Amino acid sequence: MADLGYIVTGYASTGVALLWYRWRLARRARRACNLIDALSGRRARPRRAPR
Amino acid sequence: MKSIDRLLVRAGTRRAQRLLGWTTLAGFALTAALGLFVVPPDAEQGDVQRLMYVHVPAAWLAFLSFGVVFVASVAYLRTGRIRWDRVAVSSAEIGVLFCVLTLALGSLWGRPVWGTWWTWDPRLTTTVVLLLIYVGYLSLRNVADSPARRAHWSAVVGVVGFVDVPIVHMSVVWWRSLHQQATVVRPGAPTMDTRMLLVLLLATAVFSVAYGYLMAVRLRVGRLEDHAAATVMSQPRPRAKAPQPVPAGARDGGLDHG
Repeated sequence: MADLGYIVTGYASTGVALLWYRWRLARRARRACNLIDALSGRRARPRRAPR
Repeated sequence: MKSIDRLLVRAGTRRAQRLLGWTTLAGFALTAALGLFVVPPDAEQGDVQRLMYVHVPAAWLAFLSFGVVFVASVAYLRTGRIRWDRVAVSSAEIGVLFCVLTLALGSLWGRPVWGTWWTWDPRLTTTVVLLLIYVGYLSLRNVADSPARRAHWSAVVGVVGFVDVPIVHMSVVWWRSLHQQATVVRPGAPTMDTRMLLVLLLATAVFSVAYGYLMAVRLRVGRLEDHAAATVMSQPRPRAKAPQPVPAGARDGGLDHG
């Protein structure tokens, strides 16, 4: 049980790292899309509506 | 090469990405459940050995990513197609993420087992060198002034940098190390309990699916960013203003400041 902290931290940090990278990719994609839309004169795409 | 191209295109579709994403999520949940609650603890290390089910697959994924960087870099140097450069940089980014994760998880595992967070052991040191090589690879891309030069320099580093991967793997054999010897990828049968081995292999497969998912998303982002950069470059630049004719009086010293 003394090792529980290490185990929880290890599994949690793995999940957090993957989610952080996925979020960062989504942000980069959105930024690139907005830039393309702005430069090509199109209206910015609306964000997906929450379900 | 054409079949890899086709695979990349298929993996790039939204539907394939969604499928990979959900498979990854379900796989992680299953691996965590098995690794934490089903598989028995290690006889010597106890429960902390359960970190193996994330530490080893993370290390495997870092190796896989850098292997893909190597293959894509060779392909770029041979063909000169920018698509291979995009594959290489995407894989390098994911590899760096998993290399950092490997070191962090190893440190967490090392504290209760070795009694220290960090030691300059051959395996740990060569892994840090590996991380620095690929951090350098990503940094180098910000220095090059043209896309072609950037891709060429990166490809050379991607090929040369891969030399450290077998060194990391063999470091526990070549030098006296605190880190344990290889238990799965070794000559002869794996020296591990069958249940532990099965969960470890499942975790490795799940991490590989996660790699496929992240690669598909990262490649899409790479295409979008390249498109955005091309759009910026294609914008008409504002013309420089023509020099205004200077009145004759002003040219001849007609402006009297004194």
